[in-house]
Amino acid sequence: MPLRALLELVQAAPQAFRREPAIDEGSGQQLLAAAVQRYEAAQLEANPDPVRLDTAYDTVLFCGLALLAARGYRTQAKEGRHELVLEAMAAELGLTEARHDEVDALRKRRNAKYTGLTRVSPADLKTALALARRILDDTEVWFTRERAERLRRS
Amino acid sequence: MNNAKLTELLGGRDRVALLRALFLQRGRRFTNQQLATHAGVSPGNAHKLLARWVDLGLVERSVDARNITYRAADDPALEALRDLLARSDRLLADIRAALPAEVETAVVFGSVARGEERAGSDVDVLALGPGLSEIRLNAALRPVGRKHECDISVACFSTAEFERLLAAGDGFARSVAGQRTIALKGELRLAAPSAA
Repeated sequence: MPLRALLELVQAAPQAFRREPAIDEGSGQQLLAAAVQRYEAAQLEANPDPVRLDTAYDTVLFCGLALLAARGYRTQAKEGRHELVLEAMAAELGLTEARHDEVDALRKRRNAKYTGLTRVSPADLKTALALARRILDDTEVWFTRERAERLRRS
Repeated sequence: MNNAKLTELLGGRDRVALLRALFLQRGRRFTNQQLATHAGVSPGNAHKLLARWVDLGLVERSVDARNITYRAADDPALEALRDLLARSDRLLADIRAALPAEVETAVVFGSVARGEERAGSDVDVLALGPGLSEIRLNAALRPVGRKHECDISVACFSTAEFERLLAAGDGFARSVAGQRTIALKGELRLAAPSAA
């Protein structure tokens, strides 16, 4: 099934998203800055590996939240919202299905902590950090492009 | 057709495992012991079923100076059975094909391996090999899950790490090592935990 765009997801799961006129690209930029902070924390070798994987995942999630905010949406505390945010993010960034599969596999790997699986292999940490870096780069490019587009229109 | 339906139709897990080994490797001859090991069935039960299947013409028995061997019969009427077994095996074949080269050993465990899965059951896979990323492996198997409309969940370890967990009495490792599995790649040969 192809990735669903944000508006399709809003229609399919209206309980998970809320349109808020008060939030805008500025809110998105703040969330993007929060994503950058999390990526920096994920890189700190002093942190335990499970914490680094968690913050690598948070980097990706905050990128998704930043994109949503830039489009005027927030998410609501509903089960499954992370999955929806990541799908909307993937569609917005134009990720391939294979890349989205990696993002979603990271989400599931991160959620394994709730079932007591706290061990994180070096290979998984490396994958998570590389994925977070890539999504962060893609999101920063997206914001730059959006800003340029807005300036062109004004 | 999933494993649970096939198991019900053919009258048990051992029958499915033995018929799958015999009919999906056309022409291959097995001794009773080889077949039992390959299918994960006790040699006694394999012997009993093979004797019955030879009488019925499902299986051909050959005797040479050293061994008694068995192979699937060539009867064209059995092609439908072969097709049924192959269809039920397609998910496993697709998982096998999607495994990256660095996976040394992989098995299916859980409800699918026990022939007890229901609609919506996850397909649980254990993969052993050096430096495996569970994230990458789970992502690589997503297209297979989409094709077969099921969730495939892979747990990854190095062989040494899994053996350490087993020796330490880890619940997950003991549970997988102690239950029926379906081999996807290599064989799950683990060093026996040392006695406490």
